[in-house]
Amino acid sequence: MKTNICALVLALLMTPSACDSSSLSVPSHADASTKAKDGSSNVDASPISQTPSASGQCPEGYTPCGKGDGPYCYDLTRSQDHCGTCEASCAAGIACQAGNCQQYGCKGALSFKTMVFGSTGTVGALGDFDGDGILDLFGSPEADGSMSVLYGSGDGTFSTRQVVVPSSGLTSPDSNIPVFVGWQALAADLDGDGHLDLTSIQTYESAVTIRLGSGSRQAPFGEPTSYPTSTSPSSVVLADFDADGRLDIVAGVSQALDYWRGRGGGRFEHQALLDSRDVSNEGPGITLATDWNGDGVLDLVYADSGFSGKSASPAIGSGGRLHYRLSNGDGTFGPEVACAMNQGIVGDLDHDNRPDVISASSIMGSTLSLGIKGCGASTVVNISDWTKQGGVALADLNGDGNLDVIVDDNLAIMVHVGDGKGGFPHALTLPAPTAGSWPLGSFFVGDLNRDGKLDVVFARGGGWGVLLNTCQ
Amino acid sequence: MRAQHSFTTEFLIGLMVLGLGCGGNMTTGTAKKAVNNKPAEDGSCPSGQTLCGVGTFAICADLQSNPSHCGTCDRACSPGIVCQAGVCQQTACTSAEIPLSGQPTTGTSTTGLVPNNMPYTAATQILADVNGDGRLDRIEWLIPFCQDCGTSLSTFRVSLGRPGGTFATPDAYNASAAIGSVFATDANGDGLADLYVVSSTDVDAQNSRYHVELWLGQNDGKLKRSDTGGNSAEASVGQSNTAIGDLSGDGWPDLVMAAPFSDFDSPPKINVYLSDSTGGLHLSQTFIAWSGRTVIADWNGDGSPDLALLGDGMEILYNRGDGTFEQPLDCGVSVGGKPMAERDLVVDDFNRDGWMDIAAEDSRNRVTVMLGLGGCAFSPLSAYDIHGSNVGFLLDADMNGDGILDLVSVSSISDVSGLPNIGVTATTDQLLSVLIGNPDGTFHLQDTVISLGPNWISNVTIGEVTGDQRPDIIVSSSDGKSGQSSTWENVCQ
Repeated sequence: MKTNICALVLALLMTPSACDSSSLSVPSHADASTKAKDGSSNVDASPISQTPSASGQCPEGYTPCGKGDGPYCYDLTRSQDHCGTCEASCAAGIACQAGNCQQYGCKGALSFKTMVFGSTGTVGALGDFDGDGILDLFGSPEADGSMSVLYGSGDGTFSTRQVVVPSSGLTSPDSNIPVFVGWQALAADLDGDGHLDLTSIQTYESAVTIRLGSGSRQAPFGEPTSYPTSTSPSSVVLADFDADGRLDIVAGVSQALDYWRGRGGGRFEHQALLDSRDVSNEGPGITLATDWNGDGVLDLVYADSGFSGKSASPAIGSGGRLHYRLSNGDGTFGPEVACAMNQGIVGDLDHDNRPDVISASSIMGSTLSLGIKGCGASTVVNISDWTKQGGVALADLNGDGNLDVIVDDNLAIMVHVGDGKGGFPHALTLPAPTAGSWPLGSFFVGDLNRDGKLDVVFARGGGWGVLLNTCQ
Repeated sequence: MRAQHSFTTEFLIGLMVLGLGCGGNMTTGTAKKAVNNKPAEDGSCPSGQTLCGVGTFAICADLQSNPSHCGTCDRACSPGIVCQAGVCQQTACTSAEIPLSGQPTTGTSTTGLVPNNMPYTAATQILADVNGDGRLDRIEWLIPFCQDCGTSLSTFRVSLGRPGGTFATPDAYNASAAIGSVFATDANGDGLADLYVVSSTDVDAQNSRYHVELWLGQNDGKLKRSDTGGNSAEASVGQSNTAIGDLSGDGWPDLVMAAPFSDFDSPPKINVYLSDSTGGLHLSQTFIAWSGRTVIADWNGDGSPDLALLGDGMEILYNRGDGTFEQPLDCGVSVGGKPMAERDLVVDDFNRDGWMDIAAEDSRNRVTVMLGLGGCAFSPLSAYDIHGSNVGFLLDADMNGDGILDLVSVSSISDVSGLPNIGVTATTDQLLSVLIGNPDGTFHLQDTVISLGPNWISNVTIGEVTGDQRPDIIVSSSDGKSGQSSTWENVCQ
């Protein structure tokens, strides 16, 4: 009921001007313009993915990826999500050609060109919403909390904006100051039509909202569909937990996680409310889908409390202890397992096919818990010169095959270059491009200018912009 | 506040078990310690004794009679339980439950207690055998609650244990300043428990001078202040996280405490003081670290005691084998909700797998158990409901004699509605819960809940004091006017 009222309010608030595309004044760069390359894969005559035939067969040249009742047929030579082999995805904006991700391997040291686009704003997701082969941005470039698509120009700038969800219009009772509405949005193709769809949660809304994408710049999304939740979710995750080839939704709510299975066509069916003995009344903190036990099925990993990542990307020092539920791969999860380990950012830093966690240290720096099995790390390392609190992202920024860490250190943005063994021997310090304030730093990584190098969109308290990868 | 006090108790129980038995066969000597429980140069032990521990920490122990190494090395009997013929002589309970017999407090309700009244009435205590008669004696001192607590807080009292579970009229002793904590260990190797009494005087607004005095136990039950074996050190005000234990393997207890406060921009530090050949303490190392509670235990299984600093989370300082330590390693673990230092918790090897475990109150009025896997690694957590809420004390001991450690918690049923927030909890009852340890490392809550009465509990200690070879629970409480100590006798059959 509450959800419907909110949706109605939002609809009423959609003024024509808010829905107009408007130009953002952003700097452009002659040297970064590679637009001519764009769209080549998109206009290819044959589709990258197809639904299998009634008998479940894929046409010649296509391979079924995904399991259970929802496999699709992919051209593994060109599919970004299944490049070379099923589930081997290329980083955002990196093309797949001849079954290989076309990421550039830096020959020299990492370097970035900093571009600041605004003094406020938050970023939610990167994706090619209009299908022109250039990454776009879903975010809130202004302080009013409106959610917009910012269309990428192909040079690292975003020239055109389309408002999707206008500002809530909510103001605090004793002043006209707009109430800050936190939100989290995820971009993924939920209905298999090749267009990115939006999955979002928002403060004051007890629902997960789905908007199916059209690929059109004029009307990028259809009418929202709401999946009600018991409380306003603190976090939302899209992942194929049941291994049927379709994305599922997990939303963190008060003392539980709510789980819907993807049913195809962008529809979801409520499967279970996963009660938690530890999750706070405000819902879980950082919530992730990752293969925790190495069985090839994505599991659910979440913090019992703490900063969730809504309105930002995950942060070191976000609080809470790590919990997980192993997926059985059939739409059910095993029991909740609570670890003494602090929640942090999860990735395989050392190629041992076991999760590693970066979390905050008590006194200073970060703690790397490497080679985790269950709740226990085989090695724990402290890195005293890392920040103990700040937004963070893991990505192979220099294309050497090893995960690097980009982290907001308040006074600077630090890039710690991974050696693939859990060590970070080199660091690049980028002077803070904007003023910062908590929450410090969200990072979204993708190739914005189609040069094969991963760029970084940052949003921090005092503004947002792009770090364009200029490595040689 | 409660957490600090309960820590002292918890820690001491650990020390008593470690310290008393280990030094069982030393001879007296203060100027130079004649350690005769150390193995010969070739690593051999005298006939009838077994080598326990490794390296400089190795000792020779008579596994037939040593309550810290009873039957096998490091197999400790519950406090006060005799080791005979290599078997802890604890009476094994056949009943599923562990009944406790005692008298609840009947004083006035603690509603509206003024904290400043408490120091003069609320005692904390440890149990140790200072006269070598095989019975645990009670050492009590008052809790330094306030800044201007007065000189009476320098007094500690020793009540000798008597047959039948009573204690003799206490003898009073005066330390040089207000007492912060008392540790029992056999410092001079005569088989009797000695006391390290840590007291402090203010240096300035930020720092105190901590005096570490050694009081030697004697056969007549009178303590004798030693000229050696102690020292004084300066540290920041209000640091009760002192830990004492033999870190270097020389037999003399060493000391870990917070470093002096210098300025607000400086990170917190802890100092490690090592003993010399006379037991005098000298600063050995300083580390940037914060500890609300420091636990001395072997966390990596190399046989040398490491330091676990419980602050926001947990940091381990690994012993290099000689009493010097590696830089602190932050384990990246926590008990959730609050810093570890603010949790009531107990550290011990509950499931006797050789790795230290932690049990702690959690944010949901339960006891969460972290079973150690060595180093920073822990098994998945288990959480257990207890009776009541607001855990105030958490202790461990093998209460039923099955060889597996059980957990004892004291919690309260409280109603703080309508009271100003002055740090005092209006309490309607204090409840004692027993979580009985299962062989697989899990626990189950005993149905029987014991009401300790309405009074404010200042200390809970476990030890066999009634002579029936079952560990009892000694509770100190206060009604705001006078302190009481009651023994809850373990009457399991």
